[in-house]
Amino acid sequence: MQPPRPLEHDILEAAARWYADLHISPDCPDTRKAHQQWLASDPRHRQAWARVEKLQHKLGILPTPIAHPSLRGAQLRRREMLKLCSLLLVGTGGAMSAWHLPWYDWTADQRTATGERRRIRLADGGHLELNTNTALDIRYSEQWREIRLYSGEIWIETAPDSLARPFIVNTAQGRVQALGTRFLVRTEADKTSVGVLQHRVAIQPTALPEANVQLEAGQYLEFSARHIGPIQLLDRNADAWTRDMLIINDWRLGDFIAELSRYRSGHLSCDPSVAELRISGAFHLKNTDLVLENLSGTLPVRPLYFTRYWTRLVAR
Amino acid sequence: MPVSDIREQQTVDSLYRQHHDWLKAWLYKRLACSATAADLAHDTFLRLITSRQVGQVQQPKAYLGNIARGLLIDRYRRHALEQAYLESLAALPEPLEISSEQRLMILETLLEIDRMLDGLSERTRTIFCMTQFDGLSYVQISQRLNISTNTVRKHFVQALTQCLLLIED
Repeated sequence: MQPPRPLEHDILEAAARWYADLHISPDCPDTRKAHQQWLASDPRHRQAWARVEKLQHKLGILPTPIAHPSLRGAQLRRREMLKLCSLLLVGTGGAMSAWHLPWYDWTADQRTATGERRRIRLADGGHLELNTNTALDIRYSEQWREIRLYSGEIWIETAPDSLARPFIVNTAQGRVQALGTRFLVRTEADKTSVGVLQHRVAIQPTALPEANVQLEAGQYLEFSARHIGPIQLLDRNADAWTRDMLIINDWRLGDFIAELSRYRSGHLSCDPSVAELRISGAFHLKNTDLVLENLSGTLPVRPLYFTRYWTRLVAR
Repeated sequence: MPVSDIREQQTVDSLYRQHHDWLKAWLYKRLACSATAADLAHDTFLRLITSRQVGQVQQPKAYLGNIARGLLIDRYRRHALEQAYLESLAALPEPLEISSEQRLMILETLLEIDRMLDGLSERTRTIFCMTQFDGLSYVQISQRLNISTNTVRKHFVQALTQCLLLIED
């Protein structure tokens, strides 16, 4: 923006008032006449009015159905980003590790597409189940049995190893070591979450080499490279995805839609006006179209299909 | 080259040597992307040079930090608007035909309007948008927001005045 103008605030405000009046009664002859007189009485008035016309022209460029939502959405996002910004400051900070580089996803040993689920038998007899959009490497060496999880979510059942090599899952945020066991690991942009179904695991964030938190069966926690969250109760349906189900109890609709979008190609979002509605139930992940259609049976919402790949849930 | 320009050049050089790495690291911490941090650090110095106030800089760190912060905010603003624009587009019941040229113009205009409305209260912004984009009358807005039509007009005039102050002649 330019530095302060020669035009005084009062004149511009007067122009704004004229615009406001003409806006409500554009055809009123008295208003128009008085406006013309105001324009003629001072060249600075005409200069101010030229700005009004310029602004009008600019506003006219914007397609009306998207102008207001865009401006409002941008402001909401900015607020979110301010939060994210402060997180970044206390969060990663350090150098960008190879973990964050996107091409790691593409060269991974094993990967699943959106909506795909796959079960893998490991060399030692253990099992690995990959949820939607998951990429990982399997690295068995003399010292370790290592899974490098680059993105997505896995369910693991380890088998006893004849060489007694530790079984570990590494993510961008740290290491999860199995202490004989069945567990879930999910990694996202800035956090890893772990849920234990049987026995125990030990957790060690990358930037906290001294930390060694043990998580028991039925427990759940989230951690970042520098921070370990509180231990919580594991949702007993947390592994329902291994049966192609999502089972939830009293979730925000916004969270439900975000979760569902993991299993669906393209963009799926939820209008803020319905995001706070609550939802419970069991949903089939193999047919998310049907899930969306059926929502309108229980909630005052409906899916709006913009294109095949853009869906938005809105108020009915 | 006039003497004053040479002196200015030297000042920029020494500022650059002393502060570029620090500034890049500062930006990097906030962006977690080194290419963008390098770009913005570069832009910061460019701003400094074109501002023609190199000679008057008393506290270089604070001054450079201020410019860089402005650029960073601008970047976020642009990003937020682009995302919001795409979402609004996707939320439309009927697809809107927009050429890439139009798209660019719409985004630039949105950015400009967004900057103009900066600093106004949420309510003032909303009322401005309601009159200008949603095609609502003062009476309709007053009913929706449960305020008098006079108050609606006051908010509208306030928003409009701010836009007129900031728009270029």
